[in-house]
Parts: sequence; structure tokens; C-alpha cells
Amino acid sequence: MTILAFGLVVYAAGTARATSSDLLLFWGTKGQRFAQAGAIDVGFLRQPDHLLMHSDYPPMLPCLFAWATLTAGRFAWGAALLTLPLFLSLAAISFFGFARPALGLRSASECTALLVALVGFVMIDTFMAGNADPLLAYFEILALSALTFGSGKAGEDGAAGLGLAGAVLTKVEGTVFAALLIGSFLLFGEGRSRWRRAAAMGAPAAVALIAWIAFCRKNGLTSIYSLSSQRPATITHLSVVVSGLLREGSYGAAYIPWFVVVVLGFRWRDTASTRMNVAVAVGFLGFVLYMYLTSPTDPRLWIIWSASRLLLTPLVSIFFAAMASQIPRGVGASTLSPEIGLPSRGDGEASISGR
Amino acid sequence: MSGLLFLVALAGLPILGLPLVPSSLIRKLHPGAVCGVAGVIGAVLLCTEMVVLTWAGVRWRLSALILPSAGLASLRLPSILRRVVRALRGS
Repeated sequence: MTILAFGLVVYAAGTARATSSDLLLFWGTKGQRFAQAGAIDVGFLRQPDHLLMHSDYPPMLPCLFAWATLTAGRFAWGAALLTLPLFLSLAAISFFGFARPALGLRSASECTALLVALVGFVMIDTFMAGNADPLLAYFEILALSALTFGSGKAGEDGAAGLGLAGAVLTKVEGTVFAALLIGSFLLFGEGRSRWRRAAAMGAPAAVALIAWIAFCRKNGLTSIYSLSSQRPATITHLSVVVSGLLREGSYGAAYIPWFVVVVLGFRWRDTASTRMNVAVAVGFLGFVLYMYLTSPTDPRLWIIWSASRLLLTPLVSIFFAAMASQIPRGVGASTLSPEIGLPSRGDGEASISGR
Repeated sequence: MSGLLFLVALAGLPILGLPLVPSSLIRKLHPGAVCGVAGVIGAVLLCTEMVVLTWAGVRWRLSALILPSAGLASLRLPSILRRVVRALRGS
């Protein structure tokens, strides 16, 4: 099933059936221009004509495209489409690697197949090939895997922290995801060490964000990260936003992706890890709703263009909540808490319960 | 050919990041997880280097971008690969 799903993703991406003008007008153009300039081309970003390129948008994908362009000698537009299956495969490998010790070979393989099918379908349906969303999903899936399946060791926290740093440098919503994950970890984690662990996990993302904003300020790049330009939310377009989100959230498939993740956790159990993942999903849905409510004009087109992509993050978070429910009873039960010298509670809570 | 090179450069992110993955992590984690973590490290490392070089006014060159990873790799890669092979056999 993994191979079949992956094959369909490669076919859809490689034949340009799953891409959009974002690759041509935003990500690819930036990457090509940066490679030609041999730098993040501040002059290019500052030009008023390039307003819609959001001068201070996080630089990860254009930088990676520039790196590939420098290696290949030119920007390969066709190959850029295949970054979708490439980053999806990295996400799947990461997921399997973290899930394998917790779920066992068979379950981990089945869940990996479901993840590839689910995320692959959404990525095709929302035309993500060549965009930054597959890269963001890779970082998010890595961070969630490390926290959901990990045993709470410093190395796994470090892996989650690196995933969050990658997310922050990839898209603006990556910062929201990082903040929500750290906040939920603090809220639902147990033990005195959770503050220290949260600080260690959040530090790389915070440093990355501060460094990028400092770079933008120094070079006069102000767009999204300029707080003064943000508008307050109003309920003027509430009905349009809610109906638009419901329509886009169906993915043209009668909400099947959402039903799949809910059914997947058929033995839903109330664990700290489940609560954390659900909190991330709910928080992100709140952010999406808030964001569209800040629109001064009718946000219908904005929602059609972006909502289904944004909703991938809560979908993946609920998938991980279902995964947390599947972790066999007793996983992590042998993990001793160095603070109090007692076993942690198990039930899939090993990764976020106090050590 | 350039399309293939373009993809190989991006697919090689885990190789770029592998020398920076702590040995303790390589020992503890499943090889798949190590690959995922190495990929993130490779991507974050490249992005950071590119921002820093731009800030410093130094034009990007492949050699400069590869240097930190290659330097560490030359010191650590043989032992890392031995461990990865051992872990793969073990799993």
C-alpha cells in the first residue's frame, strides 16, 4: 500500500497534476534568483513589484532550491515538482523510524502506509508539488513522531526541537505550530522537568526565528513579521470563513481524510500524548479561523487558495493523537524517572511524562 | 541530467546532516529516525549558512556551503557509517 500510494504521488507530482502557480511565481522564482545572485537577494525582495512574494517570508525552501540550482547548474523546474514525493518519503522514513520501537514492525509499517496515503492524497488534492508545504509537513511529522513515540530522552527532544526549527524557517505557520506544540507540551506534560525539556526543545526554533527577523530588520524587509501591519480579527466575515473552511476541509472527498484519522484511533485512550496532539490540532484550527477573520475584504478567494493546505497540520496532529492511542499499554513503563526514581506511567505517555 | 542533479542535491540533505548527528543518537534511534533527523540538520545547516554568508556579504559557493559538513564528515563519517550498518543489521 505504501508503494502504491507513493507511486501515485510520484505520478501526480511528476506530471504536474499536483502543482500550482506558487512554484512559478513564488518558491521557484525566489530559489532561482537567490542562486543567480549567490545570496538572499535583498534588492529583489524589496522591489514593490514583488510585494506578493512577501519579502520577509521564511527562507528555507528558496535556499534549498538555490542549493540544488548551484549543484545542478540551473533551476530544474520539472525536478522541483518531485520535491513533493522526496519530502513525503523523508517524512515517512522518520515516522517509521520513531514508530517502529513503540508499535512494532507490523503496526509501524501499516501506520506508515496510512500516513503516506493520507498525506499524499491531501498534497495532491491541494496542489502542493514544488511548494514549501511538503517540507513543512516533513518537519512537523518528525517533531510529532519524536514527541509521540519517543521515550522522553534528551536526544528525542533534540530531534523534535530541530524539527520545530526547520518548521519555523520554512513557513510562517511553522512558527504557530512550534508555539502550539511547546505550549501543549507544557500544558499536558508531567513532572518538573517539562519546563527544562520545553525550553531545550523550543530553543533552536526561537534562535532561528529571532535570527531571521533580525536579518529582515537589518535589510529593511518588512511584511508578515511586522506586527504593526497586522489587523485585528472581526466577525464581519464569520459565516463566509466558517462555510469556506468547512467546504475546503472536505478535500472534495466528503471529509474522508478526517474520518480516517478518527476511526484510526478506534480505541481512543485519554493519554497525555493524545491530549497534546489534539490540543495542537484545535489550537491550529483556531489560528486558521482567526487569520481569515483578520481579512479586511471578503476572504472567499483567500480561503479557496490556502485553507485546504493549512488544514493539513491539524489533520496530521489528529493522526498523531490516534497514534498515541495505539501505543500498546506499558510502552515506556520501564523508563525510570531520574527525578523521583519511579517508573513513568506508560500508556503511551512515556514521551511527555516527567522523567 | 541537471534535473537529476537537482534532485540528488536535495535528496542528499541527510548525508549533509549526518556528520552532525550526535553519536549517542545514532546508537539509540532506529536508522529511519536517524535519516529523518539528519535530513532536518542538513536543511537547517544549509539555510543557516546561506543566511550567515548573505549577512557577511560572501557570495554562495558550493565549496563554502559543503565545507562545515564535509569537514566534520571527514573526521566522523567512517565510524558513523559503521554504526549505521551495524544498526541496520541489528534491526
